[in-house]
Amino acid sequence: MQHRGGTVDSGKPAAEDDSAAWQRPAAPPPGLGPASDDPLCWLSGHTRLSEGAADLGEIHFVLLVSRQGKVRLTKWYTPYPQKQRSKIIKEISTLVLTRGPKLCNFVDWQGYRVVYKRYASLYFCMCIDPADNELETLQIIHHYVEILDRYFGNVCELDLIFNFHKAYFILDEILIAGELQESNKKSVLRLVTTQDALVEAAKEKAGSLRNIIAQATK
Amino acid sequence: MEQLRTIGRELAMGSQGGWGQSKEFLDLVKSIGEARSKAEEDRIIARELEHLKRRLADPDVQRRKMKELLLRLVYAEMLGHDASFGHIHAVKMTHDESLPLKRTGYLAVALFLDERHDLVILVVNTIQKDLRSDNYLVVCAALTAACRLIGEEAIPAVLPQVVELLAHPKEAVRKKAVMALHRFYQRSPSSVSHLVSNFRKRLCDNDPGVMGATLCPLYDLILGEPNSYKDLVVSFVNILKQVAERRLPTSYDYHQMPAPFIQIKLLKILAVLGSGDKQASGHMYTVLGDIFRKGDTASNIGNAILYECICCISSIFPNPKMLEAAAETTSKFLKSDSHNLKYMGIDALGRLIKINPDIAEEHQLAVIDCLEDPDDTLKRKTFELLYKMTNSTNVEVIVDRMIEYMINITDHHYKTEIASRCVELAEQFAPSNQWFIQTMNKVFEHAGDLVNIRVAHNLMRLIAEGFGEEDEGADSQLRSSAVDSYLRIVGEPKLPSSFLQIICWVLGEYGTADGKYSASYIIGKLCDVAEAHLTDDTVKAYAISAILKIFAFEIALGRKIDLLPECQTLVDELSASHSTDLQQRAYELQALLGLDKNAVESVMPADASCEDIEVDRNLSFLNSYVQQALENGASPYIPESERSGVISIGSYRSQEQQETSAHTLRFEAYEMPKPSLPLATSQSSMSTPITNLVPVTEPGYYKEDHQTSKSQPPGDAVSGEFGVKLRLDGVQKKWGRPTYSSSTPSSSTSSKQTTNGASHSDGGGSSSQPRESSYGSKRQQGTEVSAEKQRLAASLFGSAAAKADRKAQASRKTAKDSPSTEKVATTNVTAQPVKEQVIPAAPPPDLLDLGDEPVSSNPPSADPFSQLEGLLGPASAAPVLSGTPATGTSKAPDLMSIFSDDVPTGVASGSTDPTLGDVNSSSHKGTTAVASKKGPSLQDALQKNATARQVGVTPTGNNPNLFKDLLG
Repeated sequence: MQHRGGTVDSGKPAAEDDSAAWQRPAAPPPGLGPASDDPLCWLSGHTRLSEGAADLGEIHFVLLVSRQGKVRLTKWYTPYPQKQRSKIIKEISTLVLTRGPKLCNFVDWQGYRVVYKRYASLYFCMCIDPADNELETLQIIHHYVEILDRYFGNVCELDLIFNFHKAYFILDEILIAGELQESNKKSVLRLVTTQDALVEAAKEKAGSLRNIIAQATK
Repeated sequence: MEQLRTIGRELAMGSQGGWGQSKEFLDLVKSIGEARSKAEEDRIIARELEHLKRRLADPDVQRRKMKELLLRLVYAEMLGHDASFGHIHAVKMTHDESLPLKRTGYLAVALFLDERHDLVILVVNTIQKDLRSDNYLVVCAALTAACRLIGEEAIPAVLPQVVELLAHPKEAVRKKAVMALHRFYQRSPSSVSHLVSNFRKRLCDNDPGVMGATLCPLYDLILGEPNSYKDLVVSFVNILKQVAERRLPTSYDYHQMPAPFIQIKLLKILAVLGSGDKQASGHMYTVLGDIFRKGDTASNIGNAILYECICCISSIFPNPKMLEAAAETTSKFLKSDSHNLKYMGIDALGRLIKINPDIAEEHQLAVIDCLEDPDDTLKRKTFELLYKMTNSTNVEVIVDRMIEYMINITDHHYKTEIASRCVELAEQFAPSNQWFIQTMNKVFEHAGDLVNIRVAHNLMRLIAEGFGEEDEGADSQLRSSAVDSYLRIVGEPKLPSSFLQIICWVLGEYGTADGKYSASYIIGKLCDVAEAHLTDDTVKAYAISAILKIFAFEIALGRKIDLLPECQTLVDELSASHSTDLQQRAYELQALLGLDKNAVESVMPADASCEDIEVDRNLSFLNSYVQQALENGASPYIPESERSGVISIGSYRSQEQQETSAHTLRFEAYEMPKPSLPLATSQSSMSTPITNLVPVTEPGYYKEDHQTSKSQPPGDAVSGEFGVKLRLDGVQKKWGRPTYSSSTPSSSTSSKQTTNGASHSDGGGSSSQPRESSYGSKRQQGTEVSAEKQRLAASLFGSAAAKADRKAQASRKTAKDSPSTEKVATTNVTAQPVKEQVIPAAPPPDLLDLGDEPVSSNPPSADPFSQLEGLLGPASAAPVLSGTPATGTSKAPDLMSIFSDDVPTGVASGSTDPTLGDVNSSSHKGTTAVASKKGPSLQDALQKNATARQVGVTPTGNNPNLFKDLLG
């Protein structure tokens, strides 16, 4: 693994020391109140920023639908009852599937924003708050697809259909509770493949046991 | 065709079972894929569920088989079917010893259940146990499930373990523990609040992934109370700087950008911390400038970072240089061919004009292009921008556009939103009452049921009151024009209820006022309305009251009129109505018909709706009655606020809400009610009869005195009783014509603030720094621009443009030299003093000129920004700028060195997995990285192809590589 950046101190500073350094106030705190003498300070876009963060993560749900409108994967970070889920899926797939090419990858839906991207025959959709960064979400989708691609080796829709549980496992390593938890592709893949290795080991064990039994009964 | 192809492949793959699943499952998926209709699919799944139910109930089923059955359940539920019978089996599987089964169990449980489900209680115990496991993969699985399943009540059960895991040797576990704590904090801030310091500690974790994850909870915490985290500003700035300088391991790179997701999160945090804080913002300018300079507008992720930077700059304490940079990036977005970027550009523009309204004017044609774009999303975003930049000069164009768009959409949610925006803008900025009424009519006609009823009352009030200071003639002219338009419209089918109410009221009050229409004509129309809306009692009530008024006016004028037969039927019908309100109105009408002229005049004075009604809020006329009661031994009235132990209705309701939302039992006993409540002379109960005594001409519409309504607090019992309290404060002067024609920016801004508290800035606002506008030159070249667009632009940006013209004239000399490139110059030469605005190198004069850009149908062949970037290059090498980061670095605590030190371990673990190793080796050249990554996967594709062919089905078309556009 390579890393850039030349000026690296030799010796590993203890984490605790560093934390102390960080918690040292950067500037004398008294001046922290709102700069009342400035007429513009109240104009800043703070209100919009705080809207979506009430009690949810960034992403409300993830949805994978095929071009024919068949559901390939759903993950709900905001709890919805089953009935509402079907309704949402229906609404969003019609919204997304009917959009022409070359248009924005974002759609308004019920006061939320759905960011979607089409990869071959599959649409990846994520629902976010309107205040969030849509381009970032678009890249989170792409990040997920890239990881799927590396994991499955040139992934295609069939991989996801038959191995949807693996797609779920990978998604769980990328997003937790609607927040991006890991942006390092390699860490995600490493974790997923380690888990797979365990599965393989278990299978082999079972297989060898069966062989032994089979031989014994012969 | 595409579908056939897919099915073909599914067939091929399914029958040979190449995905490690059983034949049964593959068959299921295949048949679902082949299903021709939703009904067929439902049938297949129903059959499958029956089958699964049988199998799951079988006690002898193998554990490994069980795993697959569960996955099939997940599949069925994913397709929208109820598989709740199997949930318990998923819960059981989480108890399993073997990791693969346990993991599947957790996956299924997390998909099936949420924190409110009853079965969760059975999982909590398992999670607790697994969090203590030696195997970190088990711990990971448990943490992932905990994020989804642990509700407020269960948090204490797992909290200690999760906190312990924050110090786990494995970074994956630490990261998940941070996320789980974050989730707990979101669920119930109080239960985790004492652990907040842990997040600060994790911020300097050795692993960048953990640090990145910690930013999520910190962002939430900082949003809650930014002031307690101001000490972290410098730390965040340092991290951001080091990330931007590529000091993280390259595995965090994404499309050659260093850890972009972490950068974005940091920018979000800084935006909150710097909001309205000059000192904190001061620390950020350098790093923000750096990010702008390094900004990569070619890739999506680069643009995402730039956009977040703009958001940050528009949120923190404004800095002219930063704003310049942000404005420049915004204009790049707007000029891009990509719809996504245009969209982000419009959004960014909306943020920037809050600080400097003049920025919009340069992009007027781009904005208009977006407004006329066929893409709905872009159009809506542009409406949002227009909404933000509306002022009294462009309100007519903007609202007309909005209404035009509103009429044609079916999306209920958005229609409501845009309708209420139209109303809001019209109320704030209406240039004339005529226009206001017409606009409101349009809104009511098309979205009447979606807007607040308050708006309807405001409209009626406006028609009734006229404009106060103006002459009566104009008022009555307005009223008769309203009557004319309503008579024209009233016969149309499907008018919204609230609009019909307005129509009825106006016709009743003013239908016969100018003598143009006969009473019987109006009454006939009103009868038609009542008949056409049999189910709507409110409309019928309005109609009958309007008829009553017309009769009253006629009688008062001494004219004799007969009851039309259709009117008679209506009255008869309403007298027998189930609604007592309608009955009463009908009987009142009949009674009124029998009265003589004088009586009618005093009961129903003409044009009484404008008269101020005196409301004696202290009910002083009852004093003698109260006194008498007290003398007779009644206990005195104790005001609500002084009573203890007795909960007033209002507060009781709010308490109830709290209780239901908290889902918790109340443990303390209820207090005993005070035995003696004074006899019911409480204000609220008294006010009901009193208001009925007041001669109100229209029951649904209540007029209040300006002075009283202003002096009364909003929560007052009496005004609450009216339900529809009019928002009168400060409204009247807005509608006055003279106020608008000569509105000074300052006064209009202040009135805006009072009305909605939002932060609108209008075009007339003062610009913070003098800057040249390219508008003048644009005008000259604008011959190519279609006349219509230009007209629209002029009307939208009119005032600002005119001002710009003036400005341009004032400083014509500089404008002649380099009118449009000057802006570039100032940003480029950030190192130079600001006053020295003339650029040393003369760039192509029309580089930033917008004039011809939007009109040319073909996309610009060469990106004009590549030249711009060339200009930017030397600027970034300017000694001052390159000097600052260097000094900054040496001063900064060397955080990233920790991360770099971590690298050896990373290599070790990486080498265990040779398949992944190749990605790393090509960190410097992105292209080779892609190529090497594609290498093995191509083989894969061939293999898949081969397996498919083996089975006899050749996938039509090229290869099964469906994702070939993935990295394109």
